[in-house]
Amino acid sequence: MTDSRTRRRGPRAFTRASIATAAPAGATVLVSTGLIGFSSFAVFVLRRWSNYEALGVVYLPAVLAIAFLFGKRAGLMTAAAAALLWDGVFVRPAGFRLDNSRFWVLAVALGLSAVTVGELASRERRRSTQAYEREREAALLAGISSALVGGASLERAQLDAARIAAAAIGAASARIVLGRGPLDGQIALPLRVDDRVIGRLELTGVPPEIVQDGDAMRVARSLSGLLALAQERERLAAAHVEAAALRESDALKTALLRAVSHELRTPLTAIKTTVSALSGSEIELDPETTIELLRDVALETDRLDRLVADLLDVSRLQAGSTVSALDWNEAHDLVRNAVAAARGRVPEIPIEVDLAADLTLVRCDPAQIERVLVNLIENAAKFSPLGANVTVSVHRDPGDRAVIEVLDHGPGIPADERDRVFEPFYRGSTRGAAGGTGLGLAIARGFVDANHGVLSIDDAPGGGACMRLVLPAMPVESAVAS
Amino acid sequence: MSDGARVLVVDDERAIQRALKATLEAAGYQVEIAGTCADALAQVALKPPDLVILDLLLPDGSGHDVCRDIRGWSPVPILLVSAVGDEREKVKALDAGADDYVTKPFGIDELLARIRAMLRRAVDRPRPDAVVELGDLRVDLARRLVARGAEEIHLTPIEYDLLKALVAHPGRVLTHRAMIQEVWGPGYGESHLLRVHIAALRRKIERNPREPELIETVTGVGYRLREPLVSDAES
Repeated sequence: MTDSRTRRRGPRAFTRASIATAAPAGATVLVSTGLIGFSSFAVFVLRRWSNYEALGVVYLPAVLAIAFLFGKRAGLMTAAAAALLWDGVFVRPAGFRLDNSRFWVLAVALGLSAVTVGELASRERRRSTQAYEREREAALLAGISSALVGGASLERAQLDAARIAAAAIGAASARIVLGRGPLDGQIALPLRVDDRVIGRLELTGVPPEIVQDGDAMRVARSLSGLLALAQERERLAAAHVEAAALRESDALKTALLRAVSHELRTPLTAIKTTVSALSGSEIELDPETTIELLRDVALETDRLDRLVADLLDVSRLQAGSTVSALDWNEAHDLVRNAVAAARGRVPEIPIEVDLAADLTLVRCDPAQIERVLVNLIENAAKFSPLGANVTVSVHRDPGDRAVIEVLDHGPGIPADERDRVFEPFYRGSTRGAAGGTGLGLAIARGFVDANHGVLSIDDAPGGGACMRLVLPAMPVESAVAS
Repeated sequence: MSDGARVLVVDDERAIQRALKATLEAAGYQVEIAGTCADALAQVALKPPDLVILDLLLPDGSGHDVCRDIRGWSPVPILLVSAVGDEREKVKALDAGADDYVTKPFGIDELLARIRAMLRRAVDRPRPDAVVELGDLRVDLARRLVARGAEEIHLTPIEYDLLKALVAHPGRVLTHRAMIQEVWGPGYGESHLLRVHIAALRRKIERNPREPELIETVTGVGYRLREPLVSDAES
């Protein structure tokens, strides 16, 4: 038969329907006897006013009720019992005779009614059970798929899906294990996709009758397909991220190479030339010139050293391998030390410091934030007109955050360039002859991000740029109270 | 005083060995060279130097282990050479027993200044009952008194203990951990408490707390009591 598959599934799928009709035999007999007894009493009462032959019909409601409630078999037996009772007790002459055609007419009529009603009732019941099952399954699938295909990570989705599956099956808890691993639960159902086992659904606290139930298997089947989809989605997303990172690091490498070839060569050339002049035998240099040239060599090596440190930091930041040792530090200390270091690098620019009145503890990696501040000050100095000063200030905002601002009196940074100045190797349009690798601000932004701070650009009052660094600070009360 | 002192340079770079040997010898020191951890330990044991200059990266191990090993049996001053930005490495080495550090690449003037200071400190540690003078600030370790000129400065017990720890190691970087251990005991104290109390101490003993001159913050590593420092025993 072509329909054998559905038929085989039938009994399993309709377990609920059979439970509904499989009322205990005792109850069936009790209700049937009661109804037939009641009907017989009615016949006994009514026969005074009516022809007893017509009263056989009084049994019909009882037979139909039994057939409807307990199925056609119970209905048939009730019909037979009613016909026998009616024929044997009420039809004169009393006593049962098999050749009595009246008995057969009533028996067949009641029997046919029982079969018809029983069949209709069971069909209706079957249909509603199916609808219920379908609805449940749809709800389950929707729940699981939204858990698996939603924005959360696969790991999180697995937990959600397992919870939904546990609720659907009636288990105390469930766990989805992808791949292999030691078995932990009470029972495990394999999760298959195209005959390939992708994992298992482990269940604990499962009531015994449910172990036999087809429900659990069906849930496992639904889970498998969706899990496979979610896995694939995760894999694709990871591949996408990786590709994007590769593209980005490729662009960075090109920029790095360009910087290395130019920025590293310049100081190297200067050093090489000077040193060969000093060590050469052809030229006689007076002691003053010698010292001057040697100082130049020292300056150029410092430049090289800083460049190498910058390049290292940029590549570490881009690779995400920067580690920040976060701890409480005094903002004044950070600013003081940064300003001292910056004064050494840009001695021609006066740097003013404006510290807040009270102690401000900020959570950060002090070396990294000092580096950020030095870079910001150096950058500000680069754009400052001769004689103008750079101001560094610290204050606390109402939200218990420390705000460190570096202000200059340069041309400022146009609004549309404010994001791009933080890109490695970006050189602003307002930059004149100012040198530099274009790494300082990129490193600053990278370190600030790693320290959970915010670095932004604003206009300084009276022209110029204001670089604003915001860091989480310890509330004054808790710093003092402890 | 430091003339003729024996300095052991532990570094595996030929160029650096040569440059240090030439300059240190020109400055009047006797210089020995070790290229590996094993070599360094053997030399410290067999021909005890007056000072060790130790690079952190060595072919057969790390300078940290050399530090710890030497500290197990010798008080010889150790000057550490470490790369820029390696604050954690510096802290680790200082906690392992190194006395000071210079950051690579260093200038020779800075190196010579550090060596001189360390050699002087090795013979010139303040006695526990000394009166130490920091500019016009007097710290009487025997009587737990701190005064500027004739005016006594009142410190809380924690502030005094912090100052005492710094005074006991003048010119030397004390790591945050070392200071917390000394003042609060091992396993107690938190870094933010240290900042709060150092700030309070600075307000009391610094001439201008906004520009501290005595207690220097060494970023990411610890604090250092600035020299010069004159100490004389009070009898």
